Amino acid sequence: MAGLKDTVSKSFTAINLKKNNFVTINKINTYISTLEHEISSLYSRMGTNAYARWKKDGGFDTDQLNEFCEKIREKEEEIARQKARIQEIEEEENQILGRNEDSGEEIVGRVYCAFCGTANSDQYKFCVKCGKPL
Amino acid sequence: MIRVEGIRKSYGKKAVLTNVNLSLETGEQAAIIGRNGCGKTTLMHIMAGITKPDAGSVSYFGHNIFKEKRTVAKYCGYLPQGDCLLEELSVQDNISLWSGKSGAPSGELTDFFDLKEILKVPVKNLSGGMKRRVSIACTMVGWPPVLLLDEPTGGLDRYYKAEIRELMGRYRALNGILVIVTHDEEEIKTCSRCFELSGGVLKEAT
Repeated sequence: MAGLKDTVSKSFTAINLKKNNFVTINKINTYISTLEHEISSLYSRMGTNAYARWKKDGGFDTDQLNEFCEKIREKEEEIARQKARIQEIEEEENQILGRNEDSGEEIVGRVYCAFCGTANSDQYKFCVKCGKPL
Repeated sequence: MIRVEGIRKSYGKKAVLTNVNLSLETGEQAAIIGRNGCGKTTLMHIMAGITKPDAGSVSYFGHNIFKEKRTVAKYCGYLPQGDCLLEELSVQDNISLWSGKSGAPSGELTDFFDLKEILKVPVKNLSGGMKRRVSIACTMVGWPPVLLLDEPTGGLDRYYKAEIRELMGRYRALNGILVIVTHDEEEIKTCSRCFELSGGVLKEAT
């Protein structure tokens, strides 16, 4: 009975964790899309302004161009930070759900052990951790 | 995983195993080699819970087989030397005897060992290789994660040897652990690890 309770509890924990991470990752991806859209918009504005200035004076306003480039770089750095955050979340999830990173094994299809909750390859018949049938 | 630690066993004054240690992970296939009478079968008996050692412990997936009596039945299948079948009974009856359940064995087992055609055939009418296949099927009725096979291809021709090796390879692919006592060079090559039992001590051979 205690084993069953433990198994159910582990399964719920796994589901909750996956659900929360899915929502967080989706939010981050939306933010990244917004940033990318803003970068496109900056490119467009930078080009439009540069052309208008060239048309008017026959040259470019380097200060203004630098300002645009700085803004674009800031946004690119923010995107890299957010992508790193997604990777951290995924690695943390794998660690909690028992995916074995040390073995370097690529788990294509996953099966979760009903007894200990460890993630196993769907090619396996026995759990890596507890040896129980999957 | 298998953990064998500090196993000692003597028969009277004769020390057969003095300090045997072995550690195996899932998906590994280990060959145990050594001269006749060096204690390979004794070690297998100890690992199968048949013989109690003078000292040391054997555990499967963290369960000590000498403290938790039912662990062996759950985690380990043991094939003794030769076959372990009753000749007069059919293949299905032999499997039922091993599993303790009447009726046809599971489709999974019959498919894995390709036994469908011979389920009703008396064991005495089978060839040596087929008997060995049925014997291994009997040890695997409960799908244990550990298989201990004492000379599984002994006395078979090369075709049946290849067949048994193929079966063992498929079991290993399912993430099972295989420990084989063997003298067969080809079989040793298929193992991921090889241990030599000599002077009562198990050493990993390269």
